[in-house]
Amino acid sequence: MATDKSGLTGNTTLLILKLLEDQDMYGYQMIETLSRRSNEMFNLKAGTLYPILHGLENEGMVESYEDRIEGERMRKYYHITDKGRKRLIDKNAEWKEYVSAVNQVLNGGLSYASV
Amino acid sequence: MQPFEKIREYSRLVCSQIRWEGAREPISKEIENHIMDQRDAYIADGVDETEAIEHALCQMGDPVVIGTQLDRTHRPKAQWGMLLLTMTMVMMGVLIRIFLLSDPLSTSLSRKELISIIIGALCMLTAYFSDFTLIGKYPKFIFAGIVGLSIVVLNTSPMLNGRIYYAASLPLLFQIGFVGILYNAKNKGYLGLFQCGLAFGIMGYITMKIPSLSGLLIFTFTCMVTLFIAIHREWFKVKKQFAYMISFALVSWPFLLIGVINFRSIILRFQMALGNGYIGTNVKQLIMSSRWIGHGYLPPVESTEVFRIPNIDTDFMFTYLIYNYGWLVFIGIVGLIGFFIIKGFKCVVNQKSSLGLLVSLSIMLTYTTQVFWYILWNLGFQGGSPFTLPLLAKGNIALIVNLALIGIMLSVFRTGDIVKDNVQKFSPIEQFISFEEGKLVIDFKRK
Repeated sequence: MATDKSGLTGNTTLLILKLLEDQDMYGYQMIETLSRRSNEMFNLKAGTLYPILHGLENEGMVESYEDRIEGERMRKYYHITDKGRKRLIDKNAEWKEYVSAVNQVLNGGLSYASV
Repeated sequence: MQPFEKIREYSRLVCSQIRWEGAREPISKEIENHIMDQRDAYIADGVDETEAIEHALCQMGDPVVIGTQLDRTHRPKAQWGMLLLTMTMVMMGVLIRIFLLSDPLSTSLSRKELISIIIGALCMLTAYFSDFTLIGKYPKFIFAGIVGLSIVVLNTSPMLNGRIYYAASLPLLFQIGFVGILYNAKNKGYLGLFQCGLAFGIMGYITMKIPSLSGLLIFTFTCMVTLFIAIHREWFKVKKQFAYMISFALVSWPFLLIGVINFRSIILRFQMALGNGYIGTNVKQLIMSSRWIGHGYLPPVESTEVFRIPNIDTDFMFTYLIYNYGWLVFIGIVGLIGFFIIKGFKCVVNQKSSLGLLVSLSIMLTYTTQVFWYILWNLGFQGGSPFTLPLLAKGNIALIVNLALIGIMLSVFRTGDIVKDNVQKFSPIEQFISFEEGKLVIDFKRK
């Protein structure tokens, strides 16, 4: 059965920032890592990733730099900034609140937190 | 179509949706690299190259959709506010000179002034829409151009008060030539440092030939700050302490030379600055007699109908305004200038590339140093005559040069986001122990 991923909408930013929390990554590496960590639940398209990444860079959440890999080929790495780490904490808290609210509804008004 | 051509074609389609031409190249490179990474992964799984590229392109999604989304993200940061603020200061300067200064020569806008404002505004707009990265791409050409222009002006301009008249504002341009050389000295070690020293030496020598002490001070200060920042960012890959000492020696020699040759006149100048000079004494008396609002007062013995300081519209605009209209007028104008400075420096520190940072910082420092020196001079602290009050005080060539510099700086603020340094700034693993993809990593090779 195909999984509905609409719950992910709006939270791709959270996932991207989380990926960059541990190490700097380039675009393709992010997509691969995300797919692997989510047991292939989240197969992000490049067309979704790059506009978000570039938007985060404009907001100062991430910084990028280029590194030569082979010959003239350069690879663009992304690095989370302090501002980005703060956003990650906020987004994480928002997500937990959201999940808790969904669980509360699913459990007929009973929150897991209070169980 | 060749396999790689398909990748090119795809990235061309993506970029054709992006209206900002300057943003296309880095995006195109990133998209192509992404497809090649995906292609390599398929090839590693045993798929042949043509098929691997087909799969990789399929994985990417619709190029027009990606391009449209990226177009929304990548827009130049228009600086209309700063441009308007700059021209407001220029017009304010004109209005102050016409309506508030009593100098009969300043009561109308001369044709020369009007032409200077138009040329300056055009220079600013041209620079604003130009590609500032040319400074980093063609540093020797730009340096040679500025030096060549200086030599022509030095040899053709008339002298006025012991100074080569038309060359007086040239030192403001010198840091653009210097910054280009500094940017290209990256990773060149001590050789790079000496190249910067040589560039400074040539331009410092020209400044002394004009001669312009204020120009030399502004140029030296700007060069020293930008050099120190470059050293701090490990630009030359040499020992920092040595680099700081060498660069200090390389850019401070003109002042030592001037100090040795003109020792007596410097002592005299400082005595004047402390209150023994005619103009300095007058300025201090006027300042001390000023009120918060309205005309100042002088003791009856010293009072005179004629304002006792020359060159009001060029050198003593603030002294005149403070005495005749009160401190509040001065605070208002300085507030506006301060707003411009704070806004400018905020944009400077947000620059992502070293070139953007160095170019915009050097221009902001040049602007700010001129302002501070002018204020000190007008309040009676007169160590040396000021350059000008940029944009506000009368000075046709200085106005054009300052507007052109501001245009370059705003070009950096507008398009600086897409300029990147090709250096690895952040090490992926900096910690001895880190947590990666669910695994605990201990890096024994870490230095």
